[in-house]
Amino acid sequence: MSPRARTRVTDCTPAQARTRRQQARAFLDVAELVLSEPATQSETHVAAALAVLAAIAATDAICGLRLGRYSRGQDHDSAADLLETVDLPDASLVAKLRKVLAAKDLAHYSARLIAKREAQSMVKNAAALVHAAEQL
Amino acid sequence: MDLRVPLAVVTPTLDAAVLQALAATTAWASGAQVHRMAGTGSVDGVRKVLARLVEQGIVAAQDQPPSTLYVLNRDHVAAEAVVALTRLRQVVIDRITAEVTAWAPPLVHASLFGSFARGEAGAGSDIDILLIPAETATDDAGSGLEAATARLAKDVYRWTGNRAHLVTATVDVVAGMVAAQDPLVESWRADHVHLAGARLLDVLRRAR
Repeated sequence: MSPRARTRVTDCTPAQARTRRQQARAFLDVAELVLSEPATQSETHVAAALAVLAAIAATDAICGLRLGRYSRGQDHDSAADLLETVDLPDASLVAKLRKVLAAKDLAHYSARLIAKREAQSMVKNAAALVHAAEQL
Repeated sequence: MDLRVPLAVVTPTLDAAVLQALAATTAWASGAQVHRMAGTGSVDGVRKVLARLVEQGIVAAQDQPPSTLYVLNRDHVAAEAVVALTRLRQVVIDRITAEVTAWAPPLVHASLFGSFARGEAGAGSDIDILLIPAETATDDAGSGLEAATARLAKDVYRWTGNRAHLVTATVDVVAGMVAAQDPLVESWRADHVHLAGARLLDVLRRAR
């Protein structure tokens, strides 16, 4: 056992963490709604972009509710690092977050449209994080 | 049972909150950080508890001047039991889920709301449960539901020592509440733990 390097984090009240959880649920709901209907590839891309936002917000909620702090800033890898320090029954959540974050640049900034299967996978991983946040 | 700190069942002192905080993370934390995570007691009180727990071996300490950092020693023979006690909230969710999903006819939706869903339920709090049965329940199904909800209320009390507060509303009733902008609907929407059936937001969307 040795101390870990500090990540850029900020304190968070339970109320703030719950607000992030509500935002995560709202992002996920819209993403799932888009994918449940016949969608154009642009709309599918929007679902993937929302999945990223849902996963990040859910991670903030989990860290906020369990640790009283969450990661801030654009370096979302630090959010995954912080999530890794939370003791959770489902150890696969960090890997799910990292998978979603790996597609963040593509989903938010790229002209290349994300395929439906990839978007579905991202939404599924985000849903696991939102579900975990809602159990806390 | 204080569902914020289930460990208080066996140790109704600051020790419970400190162990609960340490069990939430695998990272090292200073006394001040543990105090913030515990959300109760004084910093000095938390440090005294930490010193006692270090002596028992369940907490490991490491000097990182000017601080001392602490972590739950997960190799300790008591660690598994401590962590299991911190997860009793999930056990409550799983038991209620198992019960309501076994009901016939199946519920349209079931969830926990109120202080439990917000993570604020103390020893004196009710456990609020929303049950939305099919709107076309026959008399037989209706009496079956009544018996099942009575059984659930008793079970929740036996499992936790907390009273169950059951809100049973058919889809028609929920539709009326949505139309009337009932604040209860907004509280469900804001914080709920899904147990069974369709997602609450889908039920509310269809009820418009």
